[in-house]
Amino acid sequence: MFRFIVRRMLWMFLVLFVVSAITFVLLRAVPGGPFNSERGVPAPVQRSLEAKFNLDKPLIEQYLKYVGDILIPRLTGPDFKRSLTEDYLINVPVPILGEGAAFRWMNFGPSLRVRSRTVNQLFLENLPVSIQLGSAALAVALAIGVPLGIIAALRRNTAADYASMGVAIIGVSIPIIIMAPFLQYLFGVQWRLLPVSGWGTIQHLIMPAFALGFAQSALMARLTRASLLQVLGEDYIRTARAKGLSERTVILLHALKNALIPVVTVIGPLFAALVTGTFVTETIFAVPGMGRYFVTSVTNRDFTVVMGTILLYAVFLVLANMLVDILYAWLDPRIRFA
Amino acid sequence: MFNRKLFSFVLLAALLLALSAGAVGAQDKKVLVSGRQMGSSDIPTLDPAIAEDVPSVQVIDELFVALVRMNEETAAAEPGMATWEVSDDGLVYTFKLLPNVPWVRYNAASGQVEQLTDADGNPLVVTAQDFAYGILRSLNPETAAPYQYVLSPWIKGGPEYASGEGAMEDVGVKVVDDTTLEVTVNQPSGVTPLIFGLWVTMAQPQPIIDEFAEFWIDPANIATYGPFALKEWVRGDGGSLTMVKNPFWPGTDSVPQSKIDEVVLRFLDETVQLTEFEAGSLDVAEMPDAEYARVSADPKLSAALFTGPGTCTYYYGFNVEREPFTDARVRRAFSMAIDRAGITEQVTGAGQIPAAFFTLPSLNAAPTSEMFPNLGIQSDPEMAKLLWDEYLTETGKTADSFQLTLFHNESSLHSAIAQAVQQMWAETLGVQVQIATADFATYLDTRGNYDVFRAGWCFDYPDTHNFLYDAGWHSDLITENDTHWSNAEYDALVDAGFKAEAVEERIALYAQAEQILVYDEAAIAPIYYYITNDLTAPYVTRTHSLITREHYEKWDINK
Repeated sequence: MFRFIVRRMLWMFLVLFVVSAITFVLLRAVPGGPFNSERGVPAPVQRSLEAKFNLDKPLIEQYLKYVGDILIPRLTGPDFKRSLTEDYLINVPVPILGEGAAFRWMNFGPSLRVRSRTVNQLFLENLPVSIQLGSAALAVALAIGVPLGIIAALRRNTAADYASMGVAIIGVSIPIIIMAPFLQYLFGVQWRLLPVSGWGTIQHLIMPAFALGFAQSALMARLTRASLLQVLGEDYIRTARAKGLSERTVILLHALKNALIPVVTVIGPLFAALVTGTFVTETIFAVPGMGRYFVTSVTNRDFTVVMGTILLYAVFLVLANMLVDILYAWLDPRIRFA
Repeated sequence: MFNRKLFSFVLLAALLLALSAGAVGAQDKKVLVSGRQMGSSDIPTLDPAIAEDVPSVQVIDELFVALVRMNEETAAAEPGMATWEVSDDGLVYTFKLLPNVPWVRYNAASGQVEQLTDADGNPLVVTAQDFAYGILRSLNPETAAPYQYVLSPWIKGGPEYASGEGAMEDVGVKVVDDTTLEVTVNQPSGVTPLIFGLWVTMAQPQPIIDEFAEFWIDPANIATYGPFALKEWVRGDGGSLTMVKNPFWPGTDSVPQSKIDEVVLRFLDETVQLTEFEAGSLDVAEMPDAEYARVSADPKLSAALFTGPGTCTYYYGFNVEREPFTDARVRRAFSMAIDRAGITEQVTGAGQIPAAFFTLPSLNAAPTSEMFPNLGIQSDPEMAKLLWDEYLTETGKTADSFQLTLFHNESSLHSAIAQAVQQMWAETLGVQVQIATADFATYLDTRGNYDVFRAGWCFDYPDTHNFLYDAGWHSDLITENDTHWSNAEYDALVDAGFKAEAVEERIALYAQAEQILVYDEAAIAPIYYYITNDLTAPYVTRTHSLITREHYEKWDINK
């Protein structure tokens, strides 16, 4: 397993390298820049901004500097001063080398549009919010979807099946942009049970997590239903029943474990999507997460933030898929790390 | 038995006491929650030198006070941190600062706003030196301040220093003593005091900036002195910023001490603001135009609704280097063919005002349609057709021989307006115009390549000069002008309007300039003036600002 993880990590670096190079080139190929504004920027200001943020160099040099700032660690002395262009994600003091010496690594650069914040700060302050929201939404999706799927499979072609799948279809059919204001109106304005928007308490989490998770629960329900139906027809289920095991044990222990493999497969990419693809939910519920940066950074031509968020998404996707592969092996011992 | 009774009694008494104390505490503290002027994205900065957007400036204007304060209701220049005198030639401004205004910071541990002190424990107060540093830092090319170009032309030696060619010593900013600052300007003008009301001229705390670099504006580091101090800043889109009353601000006639203890500014989409307002959790809210009909029909909401002048003009620019817009008659014809009232009633529909000319009538020295009923361009399809036919006959061309494109940045509003105009041009002039769109950054970069483009201009300081000069129509700014139009007579009128002292004289000159810009030459087609729609809870007393930022120190809550 260790070799498997190491190999996956090496692959990840290659993926990140390719992704970053493609993004970098694409970003510079489109018109417009981070300092554009309706009133027009005078040439001297434009020049000094470009010089300040290293945008006046040849493209290849800019790219190498960007990658270098992230990959190459630095040892700094006591005279190191944190600034917009010198902000590291990892800072470890090394007292052996003298007072104030530190090992610093991974500088993702400043946000060019918001000239008071670095991409690292964005990761540290806004990513945890998105992870909380994404996890809660995933929990909602599983908590609604899997039981619905089980009910539908066990009571196939009965009213319970149709009702479960009906709920699932409602989930996929109502877009968040409709569902969210509806929830806000009902729970926030009419009944005043939950805060309309904002972040910080459990109450704030409920509506966005539900809105985001409910749509995905439909997918979960259909997957669980289809897969459980297939598994229930297998020989070993008949064997388990023949042994005289209770129906409960047969379903929960024998059938469900295998039936969940397709569900687990989609959890990885789904979690990555729930953490990063929450633009609409974050806007409507005013959640200060990362989701909006994925979209606004592109329209703002905030080059460093685009690069940072894309790399983050790639890391998420690779790690989530790796986790899924590990889970596979646990669910089905016949699957081996390869 | 007796003991148990006594115990319950004591418990009950304690509970009641605690409850009443809590209630008193909650009543004593006045907290206002507002979404005004904040938008739904994180505020870019609180650095007066770097700020260029409305939300940042809204907060900066409350944390710092400029030498001159713009009155939010009249747009007039009033004393801010200083009173001033002008030399007889109008070139030297001598500012006398309020003495003993301390630099402060909110201490999260103690929950109090605290004075900053020097090494010996003496309070640090705002001095003329801090203002000189602020102005020079905003002009310094290394700061790369986006707004330096608004400030630099005014100050002697400013343009040279800002472009990196001149020296700092040659900039006309002189510290006479701790409370006296002398600034030499480039030319005399009645507009100048407003320039010293811009955020880029505010005092900035050099020791703090030197120590924390760009992070000096974080709540734990920042030093401010205005009527409010920074308590908390939840960063990110959908975040919020909390300001607390600064008890050390002395309070003046134009900038009083705040009656409200805490102002929470939330970064919310307009739709969400309206919902929050209806849920009772926002005291002041903006609303989307699409909800205007519903809100004004609702008895409760309509009572909370206020419609005031906006800060921008919506217009179309003609590229005068592309056929047929090389001919002024054609531009005028296309402008006259636009049914402005039709657009504001049928398309925007939230109280916007059809614009006959470019400058917002609410600004200083701006002409109004009451003063000049026939000023500017009026919608007139017959005249439009006549002019267009005249041009076609003269040149021997037909209407369908032109491949014209109207360009706007992506937005459902711009798109609806463009389609309406497209139809008006087709019906009146028989011209089929294509519509092209792009995202905002691409649009800004490429709009000069199209025949007609949509645009908007919002003022930086509330004077007509900012519309007729800074927007780019004066030939000084031809490189930033995507219509590529310029006119010597127009330049002369704008220059004269700038120098004239009497406001009536300025208005008359600007009216003539407007007539050239939108009628005789018709380089642009003004379409409508933006308005401001906001909702205020009944227990809030407030002023309504026409300068893009609210002055919360003049508000109150009476619950």
